[in-house]
Parts: sequence; C-alpha cells; structure tokens
Amino acid sequence: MRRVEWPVYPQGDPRGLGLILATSLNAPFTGAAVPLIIKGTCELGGEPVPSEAILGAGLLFLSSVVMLPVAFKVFSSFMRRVVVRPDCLEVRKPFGAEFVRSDEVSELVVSDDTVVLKTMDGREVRLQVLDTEGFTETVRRLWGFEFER
Amino acid sequence: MNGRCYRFYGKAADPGRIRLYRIAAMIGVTSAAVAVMVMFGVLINWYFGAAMFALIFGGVPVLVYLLCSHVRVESDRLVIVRDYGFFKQEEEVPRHLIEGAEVITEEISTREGTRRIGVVRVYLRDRGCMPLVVSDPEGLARELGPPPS
Repeated sequence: MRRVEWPVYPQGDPRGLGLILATSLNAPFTGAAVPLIIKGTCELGGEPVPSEAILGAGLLFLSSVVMLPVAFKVFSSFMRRVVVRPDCLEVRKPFGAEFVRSDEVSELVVSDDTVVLKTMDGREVRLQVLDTEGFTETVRRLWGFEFER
Repeated sequence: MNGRCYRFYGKAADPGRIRLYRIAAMIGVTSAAVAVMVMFGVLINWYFGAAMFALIFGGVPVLVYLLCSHVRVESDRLVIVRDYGFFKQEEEVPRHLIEGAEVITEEISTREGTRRIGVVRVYLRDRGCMPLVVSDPEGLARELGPPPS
C-alpha cells in the first residue's frame, strides 16, 4: 500500500480517469475475442481461416496486451499528476517525472483550471490540476510563496 | 477492516457491503459470461461462444470499479481504494496528518462542456491540502472534521 506523505493533485476528475483505466483493461479480452469470431465465422462457412486474418488477429491480441501496461502507466500518471513536496514539485509524466525545485520558481499564476509556474531561466510549466485554489494554497504554505491571480 | 466507505459512485456503505458487491459482481459477470458462452456455443459454434465469454468477462474491471472503489475512513488512516477486479490500487493517508476537510465545488472541463463536481479538500498538518472526489463529499468531510481556522 502506497503511503501519501505529501499532497497529491490529479489532472481532472480521478474517478473518470479510473473508469477509463478500468475500461482499457477490457482490451486484451476484446483482442482475444476477435480471432475467435473470425475462426467461428470461417467454421460456419466451411472455409479455412485466411493467413492474413490469423496474422491480423494475432497482432491485434498482442498489441492489446502490450498496450495495457502503457495505458496503465499513462492514466496512473494523470491520477497522481503533481506531488507538492517541501523543496520541489514532482510532476509525473506518463514515463518518468519532472522535478521543479522551489527555489527555481519565480512566479506562479493561476488561470481557470491551469497553474503556470515561471522559473528563473524563463521556462514555463503549465499544470492542469483539480482544485487550483487548494494547490496554490498548498504551495504557499509549503514554500512560503506568494502568487498572483 | 473497519470504517465507513465513501464510494466513488453510489451511496456510502460499510466494508462488508463493499466486499459483498465485489463478490456479487465477479460471480454475476462470470456466470452471465458462461451462460452466453453456452448459448452461443450450442446455437452457433463454440468459437463464438468463447468470444462472447471473453467480451462479457472483460466487463469485470469496469463493474467492480463502479461498485467497489472508495475512500475508507479508519481510526488511524484514510484509505483510497481503486478496485479493478483483478487487482487493487491502495493509498493511505495517516490520520494524524489530517486536520480536517471541507467541501468545495470545482468545474471540470470535458469534451461535452464543463460540469461541476463536489470535491473534498482534505487539510494535512503543515502540508497544505489535497483534493479527493467521492459521491458523498459532505459525508466524508463531516467524518474528517471541520477545516482548521
């Protein structure tokens, strides 16, 4: 069980992201059903299964299985988009994470559902998170940072 | 396992009822899949039967996610459970870190337009706050206590 030590902000509604993830788990089953339907149809017609169909169905099944961990990684990263730590922000990407150090941030601007962090070197980090108001409050508390709206 | 479970979708329930939902969903979907498999197997052929089994059985993660994913309030921790049927993702927030909670309304942008959802803003001791989304935000916020002044 993962322990939440620091505030975690998802991108959008985490329930919806979880539902997409749960639906994507259906892919290997659909991938397995397609070759069976092809085989069943050919069996009904009394014809052999074309080799192209076998190849296509096999590739579909393989890709659906291979894509599963990828989909899981991508949607999990949306669910735990930003972790606010005392010295940095951990912005989770589908593959890996980006760290934005608190002493690098020069400005923090909120517009609607997006928080824009401007760093000393002129870089802009745009974060779409749920509850931007709470996010800025958390950053202010943990970093002692004032922001403009 | 103890504590009240605030489900992502649907009314809050006791842990025993969540367990019951899980077992019922697993058995229900599997038996429906077997019944359709036999029907298709006998009426058409068994390849179609197996395909139908795969397609229906693939619905387990979605159904279990909708019925059983929840935020559980225990005496010493808050547990966030995302249940996908074949596996679970669990996160825990130690209770001593939680100062209180309040309900806020957030606008979520979707392809269909914007919609408003109730979000529980959980205040963590000296760490700002983090959002949680459940179907009964008032109930969860009440159980976690009022936010610090």
